[in-house]
Amino acid sequence: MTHLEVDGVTKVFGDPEKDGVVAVNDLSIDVPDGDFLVLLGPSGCGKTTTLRMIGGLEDPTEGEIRFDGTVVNDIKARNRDVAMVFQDFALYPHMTVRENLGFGLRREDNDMTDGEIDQRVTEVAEMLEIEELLNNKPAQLSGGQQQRVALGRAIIREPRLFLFDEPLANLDAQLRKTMRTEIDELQSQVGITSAYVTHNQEEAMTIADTIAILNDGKLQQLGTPDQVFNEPANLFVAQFVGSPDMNLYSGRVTDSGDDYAIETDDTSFEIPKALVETEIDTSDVLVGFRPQDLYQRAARLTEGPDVDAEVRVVEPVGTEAIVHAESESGDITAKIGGFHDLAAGDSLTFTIAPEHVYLFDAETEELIKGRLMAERAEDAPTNGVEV
Amino acid sequence: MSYVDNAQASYEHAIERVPEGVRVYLPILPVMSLVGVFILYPIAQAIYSSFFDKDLLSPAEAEFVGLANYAEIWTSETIHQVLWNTFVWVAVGSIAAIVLGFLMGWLLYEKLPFTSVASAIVLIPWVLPRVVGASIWQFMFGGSQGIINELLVQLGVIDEYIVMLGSTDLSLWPPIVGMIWRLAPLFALLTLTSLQGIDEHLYEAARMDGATPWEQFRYITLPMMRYNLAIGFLLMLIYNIRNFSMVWVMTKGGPGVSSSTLPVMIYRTAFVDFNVGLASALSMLLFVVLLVFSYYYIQVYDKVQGEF
Repeated sequence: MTHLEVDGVTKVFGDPEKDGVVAVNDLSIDVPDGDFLVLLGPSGCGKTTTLRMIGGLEDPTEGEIRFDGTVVNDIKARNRDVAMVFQDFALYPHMTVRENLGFGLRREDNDMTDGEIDQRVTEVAEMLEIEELLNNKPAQLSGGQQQRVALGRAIIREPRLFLFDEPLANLDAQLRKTMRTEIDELQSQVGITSAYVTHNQEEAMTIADTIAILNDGKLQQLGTPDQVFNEPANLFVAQFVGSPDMNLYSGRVTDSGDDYAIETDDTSFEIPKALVETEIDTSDVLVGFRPQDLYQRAARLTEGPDVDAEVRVVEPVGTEAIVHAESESGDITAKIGGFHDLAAGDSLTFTIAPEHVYLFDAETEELIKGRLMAERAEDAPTNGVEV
Repeated sequence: MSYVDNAQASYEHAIERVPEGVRVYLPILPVMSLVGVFILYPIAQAIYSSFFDKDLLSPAEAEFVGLANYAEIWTSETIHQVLWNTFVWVAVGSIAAIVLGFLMGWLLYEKLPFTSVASAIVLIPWVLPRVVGASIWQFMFGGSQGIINELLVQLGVIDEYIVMLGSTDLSLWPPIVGMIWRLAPLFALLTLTSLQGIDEHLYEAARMDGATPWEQFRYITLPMMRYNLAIGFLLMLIYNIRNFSMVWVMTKGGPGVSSSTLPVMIYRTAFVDFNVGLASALSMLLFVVLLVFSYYYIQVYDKVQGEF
């Protein structure tokens, strides 16, 4: 059980004075005991480097990493009591599953006898349902089985921290979902503080207690999955999180008494001031609609915007469909139920509840207004909109 | 029907008359006939000759002597001396080349400055024509002008120049040194490539598992390299036992047989003493030893194929 702190950590590869590459830039993250932190971001954002610094495989150029308040910068990886699951599993190919699992226990300064180690190996193997594979070599296992062995090798030592470096990236889509759930379950069972790296936002959203979103080595936002989805700190987070991508339009804001009047190329609408926490002091904004929040004008009554569009492609996804359409000012994507009768070429009008509209400062790209969740939206005047 | 179709049809017709058991061997017939003429026939001829007292200058007067040539191998002290030389040559040469080559390979792997230049330079002994390499060593070991004598004098190991190549006590060692120089780079390269073949993540996983640098070497590096090292070891044995040029250029196997190994002795028996029968019997001995080494080589090689 460990309280992990990453405090002002910077990592520069190469010579910092000359042509060094800044992989991580003044990063601070506080991970409470037992928390499941996901480091999320595009390739090269510094998330894996951060993980490796926590594990001791890389040294920070600046800043401190602390476990329960103790600085561990100078403690070698092998003495940090941290377990790591690698993307390619990194199982020892010349050892059996049993030897792979027991390897870490045999390296520790503990008084475990061979019998005790063997018993612990069997326990963990049963927990992961790989007990029949104990005498096999990694090459004889399927990807999912290898993944379980890699997990087993991590949990067997009951380390202070779990680190996961894109552990699901090498598995097929189906297996990825099952293993995702299993890792989540496993972590809550053993309650060990974990840091998990992925570039897959869906994976991050489902598995994390806390998400740290990184870009270009800088922390963009630290928050719960709900927070990063509904109140993304900036445009980057808003675009990175959520699928399909958020629809974005540039617009102008004017103050009209009780409301803010928003105007884009396609439409104009009002957002009650009560829905906006801070005063808007800029006129140029970016207006964001989540595809999930859009629906057909005819379906409900709303004071929201009208966006006329022509359907290009309909992608059915079970009970829902993703509709790609073209409006006057560009593409618009919506994800809604009851679109079975739509076909390419049809015209329709989208709308959205004002609570669900995102607004960003066009210049700083910082969030002005996020997506209000149902309970908060109830407090605000709804202008007759059904939410 | 066109001419081509006709030819095709008559070919198919003809081939069908060949029994299936024979037909499958037809495609490899060209290669097999070359193997037969250049490998199998000479072997058979050597086995046959080993039962004769046969002079190279008058082969027609060969006289069947049964196992007499083999009996001579069994009893001749000269030949025993040669066999002992061969054992020392192979054992010392191989082990030294392996230890030295392993260290060189490791240094190259440890990305020191100038590694890429160094790995090219390291290969020079191996790519240099054998006789050239051997001549360089002969020159360096020379009794009156050799740099090695000078070096040993400077270091205070010896008081004055020694004629090493002409001494019955020492003459085996200069060629062994030359051979180590020639083979170590090959082993270094083998070490380097097998080290490079080990996934970096395995070391990281081991570090996270708490392994010390020594434990990483003991439990990751060595086991991951074991088949490559075994293959390298057998290659060293085979190269060493077969070697002829290093000894021949430096000492011609002399003085006496003090620096002769089996291949040198075979050559001398056949082309200096013209005793083809005894030379053939000696060849059979070398043949059997090489067969054993090759058997193990293939065994290990198959294991490697199965493992990865």
